[in-house]
Amino acid sequence: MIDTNLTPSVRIILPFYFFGAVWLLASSILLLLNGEMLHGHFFNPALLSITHMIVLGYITSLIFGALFQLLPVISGKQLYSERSILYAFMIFQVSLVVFCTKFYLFQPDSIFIGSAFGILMAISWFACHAFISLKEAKSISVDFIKSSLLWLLLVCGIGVIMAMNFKLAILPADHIKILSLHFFSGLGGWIILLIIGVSSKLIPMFLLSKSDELKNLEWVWYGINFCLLLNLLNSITNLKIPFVIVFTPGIVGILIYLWYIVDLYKKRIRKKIDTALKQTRNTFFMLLISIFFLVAVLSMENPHPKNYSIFFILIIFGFIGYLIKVQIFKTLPFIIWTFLYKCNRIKTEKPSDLFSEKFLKIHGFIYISSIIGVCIGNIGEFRWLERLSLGFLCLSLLLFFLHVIIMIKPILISRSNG
Amino acid sequence: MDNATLELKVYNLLKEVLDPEININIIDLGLVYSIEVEDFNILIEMTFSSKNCPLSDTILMEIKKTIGIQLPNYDIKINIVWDPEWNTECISEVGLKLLNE
Repeated sequence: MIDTNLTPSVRIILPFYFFGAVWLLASSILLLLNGEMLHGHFFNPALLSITHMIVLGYITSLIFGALFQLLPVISGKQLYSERSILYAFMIFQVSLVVFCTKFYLFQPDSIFIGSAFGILMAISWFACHAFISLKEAKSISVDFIKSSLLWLLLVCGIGVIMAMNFKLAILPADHIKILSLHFFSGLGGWIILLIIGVSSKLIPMFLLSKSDELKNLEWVWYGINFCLLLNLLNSITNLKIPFVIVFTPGIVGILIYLWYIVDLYKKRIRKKIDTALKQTRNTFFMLLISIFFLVAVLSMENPHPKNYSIFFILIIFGFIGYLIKVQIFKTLPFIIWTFLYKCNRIKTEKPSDLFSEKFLKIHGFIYISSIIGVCIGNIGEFRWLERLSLGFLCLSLLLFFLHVIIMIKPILISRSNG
Repeated sequence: MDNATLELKVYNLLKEVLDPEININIIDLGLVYSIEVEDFNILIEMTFSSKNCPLSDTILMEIKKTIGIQLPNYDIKINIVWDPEWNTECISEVGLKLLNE
């Protein structure tokens, strides 16, 4: 029989979603206020601060929120300690506020280093929980998730060393090389591997589809990990492996994964898909554009530093940020609906009644249009378009934030009524 | 009512239980493999679309609630099986129509 009491309490999961949405909104406002930095070098405290707000505050927070909801179902066991997750979450949030503020103002003092340690501690605790839950699970999806957690720990460890390096100058290697290691290991190792692992499980379920290409995901795993290991070697040794050799296995791996998604989409039984799945489909176009853009930049002899900022906007906001934003509407309504159902307080027939498809369409459209607008404005030096698009990005995320509040509202009402 | 009539009644009641994500009833989705009624016991053998289905517990609760209202004196036992494994071919013709309406 299925144990019906495995899912964690909503008070553990909801903060990950709520604060994730807050961080995304805050980062877009700061991006609007600092639009000029997208034309300069990426080693800019404000840009790096905003990157950490999105990657840690929004993406990592949301991923762990969803994982903690899903892991007990996968493993058949309750989370090891819900209370400790809540404490770790508080440490994570406080440390992140301090870390991003100090980074933004560029004050790399002891408090800054302490906050980096706080983030590392909290994330290590989250990752330990995930490992414990996945200990006995075996599948290609689980392999992706486990390896992404290992890359996350490595990335956070490097991040702490880099934070210390600002004050103590302990790193012998070129700072930019270590930053590249930190960025690509975080992007490819933590986020992309995790997305592939989770999506290879969820997308067939959402689309009611099955693909024979699933067996090829093993090659995707090898390709991306091999690429990341070569990048690691390039960064910490004097080897000068050409970019083409480093990135080709990873890019080929991502293309094989995209082919698997296309095959799932073509073979789906569910022909009529909802707005969230339509927007999910659009995010994969953004991934494809990001890859082509990266290939174009890497093949240039002396690419302008602003090209990396455009890649950052495309991959972080255009693909990952967009995908996670959409997946909130595929996971959060279920979490809330299940909770209300178990309390006998459900007033809607199905989870999707908890949000408005039309509203999702509106802020989704503004969001993706503004990302494209920022990129075109930046490439073509149309500053007015870039500014206007950044303004619309903030607007779309404000609407998104309101939408999250609307979804959570029934729980708040339910709790206040006892 | 004889057992066959009761089994038909349970079958029709299960047509009211929806999978909250797919929004199709669990009979047309092909999740229910057998229904047996004997001596005030209802035994349902069924599966889920995935072993990791996060909504499995709410579906089970909904089954017990729906049958319990109509047949309050019966004990409901639900046996979850993974063999045969569910796949999209288990969806009935009606289910396929409902899916794309």
